[in-house]
Amino acid sequence: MTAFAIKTLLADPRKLLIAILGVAFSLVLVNVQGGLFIGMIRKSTLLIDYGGADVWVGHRGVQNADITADIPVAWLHRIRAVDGVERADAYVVAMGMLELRDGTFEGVLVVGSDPVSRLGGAWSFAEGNADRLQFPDAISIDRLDSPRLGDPAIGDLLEINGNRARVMAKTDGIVGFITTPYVFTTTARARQFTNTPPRRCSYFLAKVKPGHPIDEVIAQIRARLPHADVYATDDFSWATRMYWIVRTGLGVSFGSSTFLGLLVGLVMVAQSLYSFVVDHLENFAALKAIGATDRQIGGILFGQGLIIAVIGCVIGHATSWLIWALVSTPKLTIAFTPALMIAATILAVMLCVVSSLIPLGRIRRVDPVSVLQG
Amino acid sequence: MIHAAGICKSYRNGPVVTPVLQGIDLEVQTGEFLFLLGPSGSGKSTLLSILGCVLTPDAGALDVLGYHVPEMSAAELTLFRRDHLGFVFQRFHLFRGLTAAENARVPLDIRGIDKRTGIRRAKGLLDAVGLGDKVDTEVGRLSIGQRQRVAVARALVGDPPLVLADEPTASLDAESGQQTVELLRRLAKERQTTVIVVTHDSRILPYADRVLHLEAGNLVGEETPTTTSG
Repeated sequence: MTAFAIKTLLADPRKLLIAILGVAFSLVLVNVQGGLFIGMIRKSTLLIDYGGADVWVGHRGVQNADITADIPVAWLHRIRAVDGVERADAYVVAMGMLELRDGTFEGVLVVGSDPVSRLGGAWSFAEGNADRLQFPDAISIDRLDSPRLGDPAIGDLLEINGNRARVMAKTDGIVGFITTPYVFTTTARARQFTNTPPRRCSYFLAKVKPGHPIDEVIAQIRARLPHADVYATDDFSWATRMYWIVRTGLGVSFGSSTFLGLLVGLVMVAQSLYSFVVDHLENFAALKAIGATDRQIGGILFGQGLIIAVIGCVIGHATSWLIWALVSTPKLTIAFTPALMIAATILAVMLCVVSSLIPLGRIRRVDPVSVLQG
Repeated sequence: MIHAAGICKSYRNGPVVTPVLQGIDLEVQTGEFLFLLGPSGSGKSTLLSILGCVLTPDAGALDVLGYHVPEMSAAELTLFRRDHLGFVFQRFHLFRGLTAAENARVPLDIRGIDKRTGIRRAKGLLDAVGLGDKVDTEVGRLSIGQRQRVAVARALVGDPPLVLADEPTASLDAESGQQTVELLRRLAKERQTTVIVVTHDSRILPYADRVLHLEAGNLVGEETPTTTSG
């Protein structure tokens, strides 16, 4: 009955087109909304995900890499004394005010990392490199933030909280979730730029020796620093993402619009299949009269739903890819991931299956006698 | 083949009960080409529906091919129709988008018969109804008369012992109508298939072995073609 399902569906191209567009629309919406959501939320954990550390130690109650509270540098020795810790360094993340050459100013997030280990330091350089941050007053900004910061060239001088800052490198695409430009520099200079006391920092970043279980190292650090929060990198990344999702209502906002998109798609597919069934109700009654079971007719509708799903998914994914290619930038990232594609496909197929079952109820009520009594 | 005794059927519309069949007694022999004739509202379509096992009688005994139809469940009746009956509908009810051969083999698909066998048998039947050159033509491109012949092929493709035809000539011109009934009769006789035809069309009555007249839900007469065609 597969050929039957396909050919009878193709015989009504207008309704088929509406149903396919419904699926494609839903799929594009899920892909774009989901991609924007993933892209946005990934930005909130750039420092964590690309920092290269295995363990993050911060102030008790820290929930977010960008919003910090100072901790005493003296704790660093307790971490370094833990068996399995290859290296641990102080890390500074703090707000600063960058004065532009035209006299205006812009808030920046100053990130100071150890110049030797470079844990938590900048990556993906467009101009210059990490070595150049060791020059006096050196900072690195992102080329995408450059216009906001007066478009300084390499070597140009700026001021952060009254301190000289010379642009010695530019990164490519390190744009954070809260859109405040990142300024990368060394730990010592970051303290200076942000008026952080010399014996304070925001985090300790640790690298675990190969072969040592991270969980055991974390447990030892927790035992030695009961007043600090200690996270494995993945856990801190997750905590930060959840912080933004829950605190900002981002999850509800994106989730509800995606749900609405799915609902619209479901209605379009269901309406198309339903009107297809209603238009051909007598033919379905004839099928029942000549001995087709409800299960067989359900199979035909299911097959038609799957055909619509497959074609709709192909068109929807192609359209999503086109949108991604045309629209996605580091500032407005659409993360079109394989996992998202698979999830969107599963949702679209489920949508079609559910839609195909709705008209089945109508067919079940059709009495085959209707085709014999005019 | 068919034994019916005291078949009654009424339709209820709110408090109003309309009797349609009022105690029909009927015997149909294997291989018989039987016509049910009567004015609108005489109950002939209802009787055909009951004999075709798509409608159950309110009262009476009905044996079709040795099965006690009133005792069968809806699911059993569906499978019974699938395995033993063929239908020719007034408005054909062919499936757009399918070719003549694909339409003709739908009953075999429903039975789960393999595609190759289905195609072979459908082509054989279409050859027999004079549409051997149209097997791959989409039914929407066929003339009305050709469509009805596809419907005849579909009814016979599963070699059912009983075929029920509801006004098979109603949508056809006189010539096509006579050709269709002539064809149906020839193929049925070749296969020893019993055929029951409901019709208004007196021009096709000569093809019947027997004609039963219904009026107001009662069988009021029985004639042979020699008497009806005269």
